[in-house]
Amino acid sequence: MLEKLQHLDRRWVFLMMLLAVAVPMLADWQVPEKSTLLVRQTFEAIDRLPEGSKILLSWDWDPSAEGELGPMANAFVRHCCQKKHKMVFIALWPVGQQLIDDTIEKLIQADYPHLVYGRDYVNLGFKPGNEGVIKVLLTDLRQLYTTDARGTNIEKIPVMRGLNTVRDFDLVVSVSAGYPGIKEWVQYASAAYPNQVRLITGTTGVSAPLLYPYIPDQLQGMLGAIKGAAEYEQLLLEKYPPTHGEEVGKYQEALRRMGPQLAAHLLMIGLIVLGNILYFASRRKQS
Amino acid sequence: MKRTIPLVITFVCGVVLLAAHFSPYTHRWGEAAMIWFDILASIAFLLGGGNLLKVHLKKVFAQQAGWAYSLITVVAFVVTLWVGLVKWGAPPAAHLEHYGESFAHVPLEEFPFTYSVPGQLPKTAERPLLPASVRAQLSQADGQVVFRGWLLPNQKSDLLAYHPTLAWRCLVEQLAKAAQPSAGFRGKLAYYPEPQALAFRGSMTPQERAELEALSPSDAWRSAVAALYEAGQRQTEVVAPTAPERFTPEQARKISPALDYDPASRRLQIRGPMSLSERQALEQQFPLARPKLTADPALTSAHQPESSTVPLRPSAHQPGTSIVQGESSTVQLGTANDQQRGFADPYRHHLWKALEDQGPLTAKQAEVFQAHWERRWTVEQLLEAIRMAGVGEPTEKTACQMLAEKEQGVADIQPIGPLEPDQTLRPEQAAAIRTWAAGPNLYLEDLLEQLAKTSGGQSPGFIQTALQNFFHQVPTEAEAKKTLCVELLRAGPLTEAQREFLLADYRAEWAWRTAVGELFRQAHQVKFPWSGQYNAAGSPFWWIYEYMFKPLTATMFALLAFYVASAAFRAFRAKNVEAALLLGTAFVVLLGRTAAGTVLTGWLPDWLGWLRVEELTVLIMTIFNTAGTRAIMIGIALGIVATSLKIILGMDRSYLGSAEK
Repeated sequence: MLEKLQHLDRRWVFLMMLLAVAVPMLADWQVPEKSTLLVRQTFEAIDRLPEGSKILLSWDWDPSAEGELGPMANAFVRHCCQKKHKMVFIALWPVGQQLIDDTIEKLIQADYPHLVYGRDYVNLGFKPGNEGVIKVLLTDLRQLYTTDARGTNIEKIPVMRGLNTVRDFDLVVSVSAGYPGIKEWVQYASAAYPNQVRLITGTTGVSAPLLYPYIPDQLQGMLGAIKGAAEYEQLLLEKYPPTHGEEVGKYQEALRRMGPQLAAHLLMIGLIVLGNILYFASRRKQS
Repeated sequence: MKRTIPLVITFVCGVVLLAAHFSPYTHRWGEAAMIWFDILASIAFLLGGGNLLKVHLKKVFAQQAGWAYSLITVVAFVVTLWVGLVKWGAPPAAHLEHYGESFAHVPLEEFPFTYSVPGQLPKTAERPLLPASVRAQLSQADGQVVFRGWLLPNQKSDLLAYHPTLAWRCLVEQLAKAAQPSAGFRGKLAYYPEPQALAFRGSMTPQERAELEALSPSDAWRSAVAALYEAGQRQTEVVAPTAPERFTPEQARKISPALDYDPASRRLQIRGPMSLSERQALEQQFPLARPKLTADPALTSAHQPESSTVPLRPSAHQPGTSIVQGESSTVQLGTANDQQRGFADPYRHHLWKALEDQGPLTAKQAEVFQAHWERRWTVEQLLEAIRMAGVGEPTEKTACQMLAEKEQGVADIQPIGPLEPDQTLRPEQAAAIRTWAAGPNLYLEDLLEQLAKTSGGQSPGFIQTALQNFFHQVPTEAEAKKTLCVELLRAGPLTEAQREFLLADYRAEWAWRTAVGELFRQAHQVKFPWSGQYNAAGSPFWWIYEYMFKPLTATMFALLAFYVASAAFRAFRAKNVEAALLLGTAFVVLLGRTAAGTVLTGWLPDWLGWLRVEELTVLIMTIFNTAGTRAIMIGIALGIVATSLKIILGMDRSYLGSAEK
């Protein structure tokens, strides 16, 4: 038996992982969430701003991180819509532009049709240059963004009035999956103008530990992985319960993913424990 | 030299970027260096693309191991590049297409009409150049400002914004008044300087052609007019699978004289291009969503007591029958209970009854139905919108009026004139709106007709605008029923008959709109085929992104879960103290990132709260993780400083491919 388990075909492990994720997902198993201090701080960073504040949303991710970052990106945008903030979208990643289009089409236009493109929000699209883009945004964003993603002259977009640099925004939100992303925003924007650029982020589980040193001075808030997104969604649903017009499930994506995450984590712990039992048993046998 | 130039570039860029970081005066230098870096990087991308093709094609032709993967890489690269660069299948940009207009080329220098007003062009140090939109058309000669062409609204705005003085703005207003096509062609004829195109809206008649040709003997002008006439005579037709109930050939000609409709063959034709307003008018041939009627004794007694019956619109899939199967085309009003409550909304009741008759509905679906109806528009909202539209607004003075006041010596010149008088709805008109809203089928043109009859000779302009703005946001009844169907399906199952009942009208509406859209597309003359976005929805690039790139990248990332699980089982062993600590930390963080932590240690008393798994997770992340990460980051930063200095000073030349340090 011990021998058999030691040489367990890895496909059994794969199957167990598949079941651990699929069963809770199909059964729509949801677990209650309690928000942590860091998530509450992130929530407050948007919530405390007065209505109509100008927020720069930088979509620095691609579809590979959709599982973790999609729900938090939706939650940030829904929060901004609820607070009637003005939203300016940019992307430091090439496919970020499509992700912005998705957000606008599936979220803003679907659930907040009263918000007008150009007046309440605008998509400036992707610009190549990584941290170079951030550097230019710090001095004169109109130099780089002469039009929005649809080709409209930036001078003719009402929401862009009075916005010349990143410092003119009340908050910068970066949904970040790696380079270039929140680390570059901290290094080039927040570090250069510590009291003038306020930053919050939503990031992947593997990036989050590297960003803790920046909190709370250079980074005012952070959502780490799907857990952070779920806590944020919970806060958002409590404070702004969906009305009839909204598709509620769209804003519970992270909460719905916490069930499969719990099962997968428990399986991982179980496998590690089992692996160690086998290891110590075989060592004893050898000795 | 081959090595010296890169070394010099590196040195200069390095010094500039360093200086830009520490000195605000040199920020711009840093940005310029970054822009140059991007340009070089884009050239490197071209080289990279070439190299990718070279390496993989070599492998494919030599049929080396894994050549099939190389082939997939090459095909994916070429296809993506091709559809992205040539914008294959991407529709042109809507804001540049001037829908409803035909274009014919007339070079600006051969455009025969120039207009002038006395005055001078302002030139200031801040704005040495005229606005780009008018630069080619505006000039100055003999104390006159001369404009070649017809001034477009955007050009007027640009000129008004160019210089703030009243004299200049008055001059622009005079020029805008003068530089227009003759009265009969205003709104039909335009000249666009950037594509140098003469544009005509709609289909040109032979008489209009003769009048236009008589305006100028210029060959360029006459041939452009002939081309526009030809474009306006082009016939386009589609066969619509279904047609709106009340759509007739007269109705089509009322929308546009160029439109024609044959009810027998359901053939819809247009001569020349179709404008957006014509398309919209064609699409809106269906009854509007019914309102939520509130308790109104006057309405109840005025319109419904005689027979307590209301004719209902038969559904499209069952012509000639009631929406309630097995009943005649007139059905009973709401329940006695409803009437006792003064609840005068029989349509809601009958819609619900019709649904119930065709299958069971759950309590949750009943709630959803109720909520759906509560969101429908009300007559009171409409009356309020009309009332608001009738409120008089202050008139804005023209620059010439203000200039005249200034010349007369008025000290305090106000840009706002007196308020326009308020316009109100007559009681007869309000009653007509209520009657219309309680009627069987809600067509906007019926309402406009009723309002015109009851206007008492007043101009109904503000009412018409208010109605159009209001109903622009109201769906049709078929759309509302489709939305209801989706909402009910989210709350529970529906039978086939129920779904058919809710969706049949919308299906017919969709088919008609698709036919109208096809006619609009075919009748349109594409002006700028490459102006659209390469990734526009529905384009091949969009399909590649949406249905290949997105799922493939997400799958690759998701595969990690399986490999991490397998690796953890095989390799994560507590072989020594450090590994055991790492293992313990991993357990705490894994549990802390889920609800399991709260369940396992939630029972601990407050004074031991720090031992709860979620608190331990925060402690690990903020103290131990932060300390470790900081140490690593500081180390990396020091390493970067040392390496950068070595590179800038030319001590480390390994990036040039040299072994020499």
